[in-house]
Amino acid sequence: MSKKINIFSLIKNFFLFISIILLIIQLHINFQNIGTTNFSDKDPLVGMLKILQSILDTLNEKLFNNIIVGQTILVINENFDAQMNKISTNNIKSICVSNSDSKLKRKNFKRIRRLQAPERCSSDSVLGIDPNILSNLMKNQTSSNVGFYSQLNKNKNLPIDTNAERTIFSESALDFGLSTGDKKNQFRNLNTNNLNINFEIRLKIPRKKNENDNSTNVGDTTCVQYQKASEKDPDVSCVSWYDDLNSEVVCVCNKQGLTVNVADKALSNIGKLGQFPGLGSDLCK
Amino acid sequence: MVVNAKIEPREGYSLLTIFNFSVPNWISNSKILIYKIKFENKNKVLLDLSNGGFSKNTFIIEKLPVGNKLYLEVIDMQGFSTTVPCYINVKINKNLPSLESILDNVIDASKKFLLLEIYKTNVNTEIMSDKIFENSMNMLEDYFENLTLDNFIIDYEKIISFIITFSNHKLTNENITKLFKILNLIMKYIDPLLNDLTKVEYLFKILDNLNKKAGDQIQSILSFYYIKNNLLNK
Repeated sequence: MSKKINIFSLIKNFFLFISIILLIIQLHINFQNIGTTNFSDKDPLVGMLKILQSILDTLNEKLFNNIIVGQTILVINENFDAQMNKISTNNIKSICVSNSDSKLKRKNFKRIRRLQAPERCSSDSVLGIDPNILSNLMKNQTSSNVGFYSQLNKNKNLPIDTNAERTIFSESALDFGLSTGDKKNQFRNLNTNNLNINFEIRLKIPRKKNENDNSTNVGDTTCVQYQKASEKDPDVSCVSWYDDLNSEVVCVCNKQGLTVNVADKALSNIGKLGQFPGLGSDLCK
Repeated sequence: MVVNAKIEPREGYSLLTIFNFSVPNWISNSKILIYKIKFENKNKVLLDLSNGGFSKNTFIIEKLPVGNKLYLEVIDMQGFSTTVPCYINVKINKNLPSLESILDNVIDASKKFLLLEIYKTNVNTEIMSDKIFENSMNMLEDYFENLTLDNFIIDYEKIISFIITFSNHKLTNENITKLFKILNLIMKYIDPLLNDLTKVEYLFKILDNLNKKAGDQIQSILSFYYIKNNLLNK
């Protein structure tokens, strides 16, 4: 009997070995197309993504500087959407970042929480900022304009470092920021304003195929934020709530920047201790 | 402004039949009108077939793409324009000359881009893509080496449409590097076109395609890690 089990186990391992070999061959073919030298000696894919991101940033910067106060620019693409707004004290309105993905538009769409601009943003919105928050932000600034930029990435393709310990879990990611002048590059200075703003970002996570689907286990995942694309380690500046019904993670964050949900045991533990401080102490003393 | 273009003959063959366009009945307060005959290619980019447009009532086009719909754009002196569809039956040219012979006598790079686009409508793109790809990549490089702002604005749609096609193609490391160089050059010249969001969206489309390519690679790597971490350890 035990011999039979061993044979089955051997066959199982043999097929596993073959599938891994096939995957390695496939990876080798894929890498041949990308190459190894011109983008970055360390990681060609991240190098390629960083060049792409820098071109995209240049284009967005040019577009942002070209728009006039009161104007909104929305660029919808298959894999990423960009939104740029300029708002003045005479023209304060809420900002809603919408996910145009039609697959998300389902009937009986239920939310476990509401976005910060519930009356104005649709149920498909990824982020909403209330006009009162923008108004308070403008009061604290010499400039009467507020600029908003966001880029919703609808796949796992991001210019950030990943490895065996850290992979991107969410299927979407949002890069966003508020400026207080006309320049997009003046983003990410909210800390100096003494404004306590929590941004609520909704990101898509893989849908469970069935109850036992371990590939969608959220146990070791957490929402993190990158202030710069070149940053190696992100900030665990969000609390993470998981919405199984809608296959979404709700990241409540106190910073701006690229917000994404990653699978990383160490970062996830930091996130859990911040979100549930009781986990850090021994309750069974 | 009413009435559209008359086309003679109504039927013909791509890169063979000579078509005569007449636009006699357009009326505008802003007297001189410019007409452009355009076609929409597979990348949904409208390409000008009339060499920058014409202001007389008639215009002859010798080389039309395969299809049954063209667009007539009428622009007045103040820059206002309107576009109407024109229906025509341009069939595949079964005795198509070689691409080299078509391009041989053409010096102007932007005309070459246009001829390549027209040629592509006659042939199965899968069969010819590799051949065209190398030819047009070299043409693009040459074009960008001698680029001026004026030419860039005039030829924008033709160039950008090609780059969209490239970004969908299987790319070697060398070609990706070339594309990045071209995209960086476009960034230098794009400023006058920023107010036309349709034109800017073509650029986003290119970045989107390249992004998707990198995404496919990353997915392979993620699958590898998944197997390594989850299955192999068990």
